[in-house]
Amino acid sequence: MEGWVIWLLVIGGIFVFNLINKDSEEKEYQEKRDSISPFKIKVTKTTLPKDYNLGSLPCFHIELKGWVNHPTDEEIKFDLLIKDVSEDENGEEKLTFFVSPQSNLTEGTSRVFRFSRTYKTTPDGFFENYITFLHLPMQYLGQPFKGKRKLRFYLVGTDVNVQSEYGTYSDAESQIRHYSSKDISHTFSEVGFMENLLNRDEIEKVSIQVALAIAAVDGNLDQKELNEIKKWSNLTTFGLDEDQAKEKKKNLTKFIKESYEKAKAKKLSLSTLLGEMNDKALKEQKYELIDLLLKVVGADDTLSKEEDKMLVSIVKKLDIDQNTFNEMKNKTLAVIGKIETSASSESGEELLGLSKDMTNAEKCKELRKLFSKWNGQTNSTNKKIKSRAQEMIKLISKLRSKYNC
Amino acid sequence: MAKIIGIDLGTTFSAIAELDDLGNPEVLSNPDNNSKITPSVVYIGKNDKVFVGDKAKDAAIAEPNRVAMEVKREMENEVVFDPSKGEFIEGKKSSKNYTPSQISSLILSKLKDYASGVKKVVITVPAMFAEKARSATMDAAKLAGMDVLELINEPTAAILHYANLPGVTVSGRVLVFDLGGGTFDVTIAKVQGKTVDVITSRGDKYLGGTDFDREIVKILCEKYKKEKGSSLKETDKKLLDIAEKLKRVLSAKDKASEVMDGPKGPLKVEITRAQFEKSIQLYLEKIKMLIEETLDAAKCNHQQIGQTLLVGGSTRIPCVIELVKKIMKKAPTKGVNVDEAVACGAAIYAGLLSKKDLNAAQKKSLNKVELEDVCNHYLGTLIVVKDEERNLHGIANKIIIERDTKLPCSKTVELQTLVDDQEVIECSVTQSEGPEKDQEFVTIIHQSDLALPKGRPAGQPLEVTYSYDKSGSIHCEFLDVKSKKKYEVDLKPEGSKTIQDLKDNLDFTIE
Repeated sequence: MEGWVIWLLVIGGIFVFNLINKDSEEKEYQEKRDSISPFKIKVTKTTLPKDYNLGSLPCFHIELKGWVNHPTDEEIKFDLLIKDVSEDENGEEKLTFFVSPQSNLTEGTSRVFRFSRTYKTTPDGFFENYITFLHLPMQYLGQPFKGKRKLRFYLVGTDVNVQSEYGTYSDAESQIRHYSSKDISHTFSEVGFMENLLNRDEIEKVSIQVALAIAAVDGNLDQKELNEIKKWSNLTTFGLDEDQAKEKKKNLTKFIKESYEKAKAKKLSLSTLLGEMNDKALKEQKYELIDLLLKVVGADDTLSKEEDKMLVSIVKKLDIDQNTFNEMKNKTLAVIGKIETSASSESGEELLGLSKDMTNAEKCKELRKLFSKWNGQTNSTNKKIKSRAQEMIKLISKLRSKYNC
Repeated sequence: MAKIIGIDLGTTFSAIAELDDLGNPEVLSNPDNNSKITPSVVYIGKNDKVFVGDKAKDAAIAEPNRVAMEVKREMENEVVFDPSKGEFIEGKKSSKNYTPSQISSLILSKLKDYASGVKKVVITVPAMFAEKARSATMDAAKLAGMDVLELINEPTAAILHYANLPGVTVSGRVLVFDLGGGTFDVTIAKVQGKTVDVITSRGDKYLGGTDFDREIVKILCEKYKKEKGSSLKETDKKLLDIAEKLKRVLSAKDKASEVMDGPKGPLKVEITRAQFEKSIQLYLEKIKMLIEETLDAAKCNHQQIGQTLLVGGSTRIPCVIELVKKIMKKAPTKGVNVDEAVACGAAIYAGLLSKKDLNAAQKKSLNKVELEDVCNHYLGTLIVVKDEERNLHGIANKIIIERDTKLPCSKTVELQTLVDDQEVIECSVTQSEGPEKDQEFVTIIHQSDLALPKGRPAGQPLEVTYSYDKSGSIHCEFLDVKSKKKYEVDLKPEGSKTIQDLKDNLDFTIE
């Protein structure tokens, strides 16, 4: 009898202990739940981690923590949207979305920057500590404006099937389950797409004037050079409707005519024009200009010393990548009939991109590289390229003798 | 028994060699004058009479326009020899003109007559010869009634000959410096006994003795103008002949003189070696750069080159020998006949390719001979790529087989379709001497289309595979991975035309 009572007491004790213990676990869990912060985004500026194997690119590190629960579904989707919310001169926020020019992260045709990630969740799902949502290389962002800007990063949690349109949600109240934003100050050195849109016509006009200036630099602005500029101007009307295109062509014709007179009279200030390009043009527009200039200098089948000198100076002032320019220039040089620059070794150095601050050894190294490039073309089946290559090899050989390479 | 024949089809001189009964190569002489080298010059008379060699050179004095010279330099060009103008001109083939293949076939036919029973041959070409020129050479052989076992690069043939010379033991890297009448090749190979392993070649199809002759012609013209006040025609073939003679003398003496005719009467002109050397300075600088480039490509320096082998008639010029000495910091190897080495090497290679036709002694002689060669050009295809710097899509050359890749080889690159509903891909095969990205700087050697299934999104996987074998055949395959549809092509240096197409107006008796 006594043994039976003892057993009963033991079992009862265990039951009571478990009951008390369960209560404390639940209490502990409840305390933890209460301590979980609401859904939160964190954005820091850093460099891309090594395991991306993309070098140390500057990037935004976007993290999240807190509640990511969903009452019914097992998954939840988070959209990252980025807006430029800098205040304008009137103290009002300019709400412009960023775009993703170097990736496919576009939303419909509106090209809004959006990046989504889906997480497994439960009605009680949360991240106690910050987890990485995305390392976003800064160069992947197409900024609306250059300069110091206020960026707002949004993380929006929705049902998996909800899609934002133009960065907004059709029924925000019912669709958005979690939401957090963070403002970051950042300075962009490149021109933004919005200001470029506003400045496009101006950039085109500046490009035309720079082209006219280079065409006139040798004192002989001829019809062939002018035709290249006209051809290029015509292309700027691509995509416009018939009336708009007609109107634009009319305006540009007038503008070219006026600028032609200024160019002939040497009244175009190259430094002002290039200053405007640097201030307002996108990098690709600068390359478009270089492409136009190469067409213009090659139009009369002669590259004059003055044209080459001006070209080199423009490339320097526009901070154009030298290798890319060399590739573009070589293509033009290959088919030009006459290069005045190659006649003297001093101007030949400029033509080949040898600068005065290079040592003889550096010049020899560069000449060897150029020799490899052009010697292959001395066997070209294209007669013009072949003959140009032979001339370039002569110039390279002449300079190599000069430097005792 | 079939003869084992190798032919050096040169720009200015050609030679034919046969493997003798003991397996040693022997250059055959022209029965007319007992000379072992034959000028690559062709005279086509009005009465369809054809002279090849020295007789053709003599005929140039009376009828210079009817004499074709340096045809090798025209092998890859769309030109014809016009006897009314005396030069190769751009234009269509007619009954009154001759293609480079036709002219070359006349030289080969002449050489063929030096031995009886010539059928299967190996012909040498410059290392830098492009596919088109190789094909035109095959056409010429076809016309001359020859079966070409294979084409072999000239410096490779020369080194093969050198490695097989009795009493010569080679071990290590050898640089072959081949400066002929019209072309220059420099090759570095690893040689171990009779095994030749080519590492790399560089060269120039427009650098040779005839270019030096033209520089002498310029000097002659200047002197005539200065003395007589009248200009001479720089393209005059008689002047070129005088220049060549002067050049030969200047290889042995400090000065040379010749009497030349002009509109204001004859003039005795003297040229010094110093004047000549100054006039070819640019060519020498080019040679120097090509050697440096070859050493770089072989990833070695002059100290790691055991021997330098001189091949080609222009290596007799003292300043050329000096230049080689200066760059390589040691004297070149002597003992190789510079005019005959290439033909001899070709005969050895012909023996290697026809082992079943060899007798026991020949087999024993070639027993240990082996040859490993490399791809002399970059092979690629044209694709659309994005230029990140310019933010621009454009057509670019994608290299598939790198230059200097050991043969045989096979390489595959993975690509993908560009746009939704893409119905076709362009299958282009490109060739270039440098690692060119720009389509303007490559030669498209083949182009065709592959139709794709309709209605598929962009990004469909494609595979492009090039296989290059030792005989110079390139097999190209463009595969649409999902549908398994593919386009295949074999690019062989086997000549592009039928005998009938080639023959056309060519039915001459060769003298």
